[in-house]
Amino acid sequence: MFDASDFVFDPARMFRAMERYGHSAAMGFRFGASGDDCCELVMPWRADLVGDVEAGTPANGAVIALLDMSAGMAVWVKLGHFRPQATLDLRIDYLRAPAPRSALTGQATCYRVAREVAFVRGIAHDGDAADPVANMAATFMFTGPPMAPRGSVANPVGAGT
Amino acid sequence: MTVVLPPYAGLLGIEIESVGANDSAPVLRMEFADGLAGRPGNLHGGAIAGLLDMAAYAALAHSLSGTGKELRFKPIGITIDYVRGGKHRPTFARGRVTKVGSRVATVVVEAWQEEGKQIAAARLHMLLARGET
Repeated sequence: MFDASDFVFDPARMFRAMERYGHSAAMGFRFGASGDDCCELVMPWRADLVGDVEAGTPANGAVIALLDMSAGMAVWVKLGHFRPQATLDLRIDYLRAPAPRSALTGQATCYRVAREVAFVRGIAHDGDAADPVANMAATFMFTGPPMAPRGSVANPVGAGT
Repeated sequence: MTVVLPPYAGLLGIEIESVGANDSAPVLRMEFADGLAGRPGNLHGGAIAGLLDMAAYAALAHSLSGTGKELRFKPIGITIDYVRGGKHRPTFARGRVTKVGSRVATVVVEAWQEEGKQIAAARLHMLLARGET
């Protein structure tokens, strides 16, 4: 067990480490902003993200991936620390097509954390959060215990992690 | 009928593996690459979602081809269940069109890596484009 007050969770710093690997790197996700229980990620437009070539809009799968990653980040922001988790289910409603060649922003809020499950809602928008392109609801299952970052009291640097 | 996948499919390494017998929907294959990775040893949920979405699109395009219906549709919504973690190996998916109405079609999709062991499933409602007036 560690004391969460030992460190200040920095989601921007955490995402800077994550954005270099795996799917976040492949999709070009960038950290946008965060609050107490929410997180925003941005997906800049790229030609290889396109689903509808005529419209020049990102593929639906890309929108889902952006929202999934934003949602996962929102859980960690709400928790105030990283904890291994896996998406359990995800529901997306497509409200309208994004503007051609637009960057998309995923905004997610984790509104409830239970012992095994976290609950998130959010939107994707192409410039105006009051006029979203998609709506999302998601649940996540925790797959491991909370993990203290290196350098915290529970996991000091040099102690052999 | 050849279903053409968009640039995003190329980014994820998704290709049409086969078109089924008895006119059933195409099976899509997503080769594993580092760009699909999520939590350690697993695929990212977003990558799996992309494969499910592409398979739904391919299934409906395949189903509508030759019916005379205009081949344009857009998604209304998708619900995805993540059943098992996807590992760092190829993933397959196939959609099944369960209903084509006058305005809305319903497609269900399954993804698997090992035969008989589903890793994820999805259900989509698609809005069908009206024909030319």
